[in-house]
Amino acid sequence: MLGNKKGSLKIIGVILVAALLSTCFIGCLGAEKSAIDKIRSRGTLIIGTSSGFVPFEMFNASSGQIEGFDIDIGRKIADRLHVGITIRDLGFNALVGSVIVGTVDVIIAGMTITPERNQSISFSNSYYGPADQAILVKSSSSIASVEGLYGKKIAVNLATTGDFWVDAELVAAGHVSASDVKRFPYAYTAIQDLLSGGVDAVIIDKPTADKYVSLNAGALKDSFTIVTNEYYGIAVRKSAGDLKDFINVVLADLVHSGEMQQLMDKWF
Amino acid sequence: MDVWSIPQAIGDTSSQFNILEHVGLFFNPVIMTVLISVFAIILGFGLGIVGGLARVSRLRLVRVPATAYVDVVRGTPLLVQLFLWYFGLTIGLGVAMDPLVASIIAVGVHSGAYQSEIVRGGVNSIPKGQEEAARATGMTHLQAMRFVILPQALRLILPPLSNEFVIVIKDSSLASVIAVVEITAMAGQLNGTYFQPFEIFIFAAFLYLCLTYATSFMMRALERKYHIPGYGDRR
Repeated sequence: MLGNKKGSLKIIGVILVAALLSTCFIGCLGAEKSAIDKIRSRGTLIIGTSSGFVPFEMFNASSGQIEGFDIDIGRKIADRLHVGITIRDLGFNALVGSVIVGTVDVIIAGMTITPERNQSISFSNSYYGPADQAILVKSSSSIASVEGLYGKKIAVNLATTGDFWVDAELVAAGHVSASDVKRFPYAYTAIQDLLSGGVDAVIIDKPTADKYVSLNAGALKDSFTIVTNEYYGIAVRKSAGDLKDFINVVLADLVHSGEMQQLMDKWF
Repeated sequence: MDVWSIPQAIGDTSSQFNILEHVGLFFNPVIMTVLISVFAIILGFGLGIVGGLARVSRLRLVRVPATAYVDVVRGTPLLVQLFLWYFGLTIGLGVAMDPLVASIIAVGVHSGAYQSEIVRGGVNSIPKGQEEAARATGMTHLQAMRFVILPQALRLILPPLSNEFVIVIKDSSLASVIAVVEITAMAGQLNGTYFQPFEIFIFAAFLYLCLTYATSFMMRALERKYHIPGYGDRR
């Protein structure tokens, strides 16, 4: 084979052309299908989430799975599509980019509906709210107001509304230096830093803060509520209008049938 | 729901967390790490042989692209390349890329650049007389490479190759950022539930150490088996 130059060149040429053609073919196939068709033909709904946001999505060490309120809602949507679910646990900041590119189909991650996010992705109707932000501190801490945060070290979950709030209300106003704000891709890393003493407070959604307090045997307390009136939605990419409409129908159905209330009772 | 017993302070041993109870959680993640590593090493080795030979080729058409590949891939962070492959392939193919496959491709192509340089070093260290003698018997350049130069070069490069394989195993941990549940990802998730970083991450490090040590051990056995007596010895 090595001695016959013409023959091997021919083989390489054929392989290259075949590879090129199949890439185009697969690419074209991908572009024509609607979001729901792609999900159905794949057989699984890929859910993008960011674990550590209790009780919406969290790692259950007994089952070895990510579980939570959001995951159960995702399962219900997938059931009605007659597909299974695949969970991609990413840093929260990676979620929007992932749904736009298509590595995940939906974002169900306690993601607040905001006008800025609406510019790049589409949200379903709200499935949870209203929620505020909380100042989460160690039980021994004396921080009990927004003013108490001035000059302190703060941890947030990267690219969440808590992160944006700290940026706008504390860093931009000069009350906290930018280098004192640690932004972590996963919520639980912020909690770890608080427990280790690396930061004085964590700004995170109140439902999550309260759940961490109740789960952690007196180590933490939710010392102040920052009223932000947030509503969570399920996000899809802008071109997946059919999927968004489908999700809205499912959400309305879950409320009517009482399943939504069952999920709320189960997780909160 | 678990009631987590969170330590009140670092070093607090009153919490009843025992990492050994959760060893089973790491079973599938270890398989993921091994899958990424093995396939990335194989891909890297294939690219390394081709790239290494291309780097020493007389033909500019072959040598220049190979040099570009090696320089660009070695000169940019693996994490950045990982994102490029993962998102790029998803956009290009129009289907959601499997993160495991993307990780193998990214780590493999990255390792291939380094293995190209290792192969090039090995080939260059074979005395020119070997190729001259081979060509004199009527072999083409590629036949000389295949039957005379490479068999010697491959024996010489086993130590740096072993080093590169260990690096690949550690590089596989980056797959955690694109949602592959391998060892590092599982450690992170477990710590996000129990907040015991020392025990959990030391255990994860221990798992990696087992894998890298086993690899080094096998490579050293290969070195002993294929050793040419008196060739490349210092002792």
